Amino acid sequence: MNFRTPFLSSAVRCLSALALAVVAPGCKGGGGDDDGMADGDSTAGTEGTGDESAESGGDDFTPPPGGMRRLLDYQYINTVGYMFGPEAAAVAIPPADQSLFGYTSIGNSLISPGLDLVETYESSALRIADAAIANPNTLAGIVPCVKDSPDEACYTTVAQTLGHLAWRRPLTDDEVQAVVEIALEAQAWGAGDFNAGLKYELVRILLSPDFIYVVETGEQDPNEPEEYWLTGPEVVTRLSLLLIGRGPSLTLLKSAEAGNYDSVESVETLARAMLNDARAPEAVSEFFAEYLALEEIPAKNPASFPLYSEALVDSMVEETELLLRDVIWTQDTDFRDFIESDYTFVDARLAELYGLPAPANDWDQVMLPADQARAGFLSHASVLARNSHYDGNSTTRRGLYIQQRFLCYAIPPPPPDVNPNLPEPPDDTPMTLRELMETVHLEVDSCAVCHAHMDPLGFTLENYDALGAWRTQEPNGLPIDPVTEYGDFGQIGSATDLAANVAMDPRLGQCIVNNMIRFGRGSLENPTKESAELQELYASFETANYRFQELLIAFVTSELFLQVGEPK
Amino acid sequence: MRKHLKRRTFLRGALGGGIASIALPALDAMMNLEQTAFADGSSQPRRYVSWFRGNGFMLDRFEPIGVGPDWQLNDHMQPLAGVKDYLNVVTGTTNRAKDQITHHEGMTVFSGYSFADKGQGQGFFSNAGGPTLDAVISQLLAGQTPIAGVHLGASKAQSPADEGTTMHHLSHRDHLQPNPATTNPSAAWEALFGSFAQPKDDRELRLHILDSVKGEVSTLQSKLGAEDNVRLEAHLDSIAALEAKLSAAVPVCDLPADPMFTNSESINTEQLTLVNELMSDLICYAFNCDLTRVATMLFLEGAAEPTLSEIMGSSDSWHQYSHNVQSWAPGAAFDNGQIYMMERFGYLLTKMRDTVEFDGTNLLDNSMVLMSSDASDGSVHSIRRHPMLVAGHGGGHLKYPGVHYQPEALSGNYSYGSHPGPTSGNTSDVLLAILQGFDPEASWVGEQLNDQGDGAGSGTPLAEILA
Repeated sequence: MNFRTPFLSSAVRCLSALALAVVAPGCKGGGGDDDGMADGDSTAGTEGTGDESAESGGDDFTPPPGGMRRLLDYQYINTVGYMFGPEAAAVAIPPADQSLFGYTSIGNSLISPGLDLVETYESSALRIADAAIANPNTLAGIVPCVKDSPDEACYTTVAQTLGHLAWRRPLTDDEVQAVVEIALEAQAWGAGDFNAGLKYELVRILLSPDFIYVVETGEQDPNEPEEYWLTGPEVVTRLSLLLIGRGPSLTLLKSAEAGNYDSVESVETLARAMLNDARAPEAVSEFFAEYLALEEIPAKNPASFPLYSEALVDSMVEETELLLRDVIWTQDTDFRDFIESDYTFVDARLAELYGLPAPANDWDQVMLPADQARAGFLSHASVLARNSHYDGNSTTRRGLYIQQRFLCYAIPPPPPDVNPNLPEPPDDTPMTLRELMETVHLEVDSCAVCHAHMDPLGFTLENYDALGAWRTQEPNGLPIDPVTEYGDFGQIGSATDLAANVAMDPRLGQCIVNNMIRFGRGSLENPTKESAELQELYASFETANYRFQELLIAFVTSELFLQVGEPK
Repeated sequence: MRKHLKRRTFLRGALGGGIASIALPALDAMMNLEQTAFADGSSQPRRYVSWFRGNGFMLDRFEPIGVGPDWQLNDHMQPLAGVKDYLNVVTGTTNRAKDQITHHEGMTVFSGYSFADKGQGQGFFSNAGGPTLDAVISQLLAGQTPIAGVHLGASKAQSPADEGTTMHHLSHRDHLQPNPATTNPSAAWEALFGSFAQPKDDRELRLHILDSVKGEVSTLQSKLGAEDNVRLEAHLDSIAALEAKLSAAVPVCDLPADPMFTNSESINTEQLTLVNELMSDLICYAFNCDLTRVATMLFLEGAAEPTLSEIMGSSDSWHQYSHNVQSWAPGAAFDNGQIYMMERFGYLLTKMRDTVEFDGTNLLDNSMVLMSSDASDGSVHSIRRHPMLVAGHGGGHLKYPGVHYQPEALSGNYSYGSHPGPTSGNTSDVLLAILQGFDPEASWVGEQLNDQGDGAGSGTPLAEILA
């Protein structure tokens, strides 16, 4: 398969290290370790047999700095659920993540925490510990002694076993002792109650920076001193967090510590197993939640939009979620179908909004209405309503969204001498929004410099009101004209045309790749220092016919994912 | 069915949506039982508040009439009539931010630092270049109260176009160290008072846990680079913040009840008047109980796009109105909104004035509250004639009754939608004047000037507003 291109180049890198008889981290051969288990930590692969033309080092690739990043909110909650059960997950409330460059994974890697960080984690840990003790079965599955033999020795077992799982590394003897000391002190404080000791022991483990922060420092490549290969445990951690949304199981960690995930093949095998895990779709949706940013749909004026309700907004978001899951998981097909599909999913509320017959079930897959020029996500009510105002459309925001999120075109800040004050439109002349924007945004050169990239794309979506319903005229009775021209797109006659142009634009695939990288490793892609690797990943997405699961595989088996630079 | 793309819903609104306001009981008999005398001889500490409302002013309706001690409130300051003697108003001065993006440069008025990291290929992107005044003051007061500062907000709306830390936060401890605002009154209550409302006989244990964790922090410090060490330092500061709270005695003052209101309404239907009242009340309680002496209130961030439905005649977004001077006519939405914003600010000031301290003074007597925005004339993102309003006597530090300082009158040629002039001076002079109320030795605030003498820092406190 064509997406193996980056995989082969990684294998080459590994072979070059082996040729020097220095086993580079991440390049060690993996013995088949048969610890197959539910969450995808199945088997390690064998040594790659790549091209023999070993590279002698000195490439242009410099990975982003290594270092630490804080667990994202959902990763924290899912990991708590894995360790302590759903009752504990339900009361786990980590500090809010902060976004930078559009992603909390970057924010959690670069922004210093607020001063209330530890307090929030402590409140959460206290609640989690109470819930874990009240519902001990999940914990007992990991550390049976908490039910079978709740004694002092069990505190040591908890520190060693649960600590290893939570901190994603074995604890030193001193660290075990420090944790057990807390347990014993709490047990004494609790008049000898084992569970009093256990509660504060769990809090102690959860409050450690080794649980809260993921550390990715890797080990230096002997031939490429600016490249550090993530260690096996670091790789499986990064992979688990990305693909199943939580930290790795203890079995997987131990297998990685034994060297079973040091080859690219073993990483691919593991990644494929994880994509088959039931948790993968939800984890991948966490990416799209930030990428599409649909949680920001503002309320509408009920006088103008009587169909508006928060329940309708929930339905809008669910429609987009269902189409995403259909394209990525059910069909496992070309991701561009998300942009230009001729079908969608509706419930009764959306059917009413779209003027479709009510579905027979809660949600039904339906063909888009033929007379509304809709196609794919760009004409979903979710994105249309998100990029509209309280009482009307915004051609600017709709255009900006497409440019930023699907074409990775950043609108530059206005020139210093720009006058951002809206020119006064002619009096007494009823205008459409488009005519108004053509007057105020596109006729004035200093405005048009930027707005020419936004408003014209929005014009093609003027057939959909601020809630996403079809319309052929504005509230003032003037007819909508969606036909416009934009750059290489040429003439665009409708939303369907727009979707086709966006879907066929080569920047779309690259933009999705860039965003995936940002989310998946918590750093911006670097077109200068990672040029060849980025081009390879773009190419492999294309040659995999834009199947998103294959993009994930190509990404996690590339140096873009498996390497870091010196710790920042 | 779970809404997977709506991932943040589980983080907010954990409590139900019942609306309640905090009824402030008479604040008698309280605080500071040690009867500490502060450096200035008063028995009550000085406090500081930053208060922000986005998208600028209508200068000819805001800038006071007359200068010096004899000045009158202009139309948009009328909501502050009841506390006029407590106001020192500075207009006509220049925000000397070195660079501009639109909106971002305005935030310098609260820090004296120009923004950093412009663009980064991401359009309207920047990060705050240095600490804001509130954080500098928090640092000076470290250890004197259980909480370094409380950072609150009203609207959840964020600018859809702006990225980086500059625009989304009012308080920054330094570059890439924002103090995010809490917009949920119930969560704000929990952070301020929650720990005192629960039995906590396990405090000692919890302190031991925090102490024990520090070993792992120092192991990490040795493995990581300079940037992550800054973050680990912040983590240690955060541990220290919780230690201070756990070590604090329950304050001898009236503790408010949980407001039981989470501000979880969708943007455009937020109840900002109510949220502002609840947050203002919490600030007054926190100050009065001396839990903290520093607060920030980000009422509405700059360039955010909500429609503020509580403003008469408002059906478009506040940002949109700021760029559409047709809405600036008397009685039109932006004009009404200016008054609405000042009413919200006025609620806090009035509440502070009505909150009596142990020695019979009130909070406004002992506080300095800086109000400004991200622009002077928001329609053109101007930072010329950038207004700053400092409310409060500052424990005798500022003039009372206050003055209007204005180096030069607003030009008669000024019209909405143009850069106002003339302008001179340095808005950071106001920051240094305030800072000296907390550190009489302070000789500089904000960034150092570059070789060309450009920069937003100041070494000259604005003497005209000092007592």
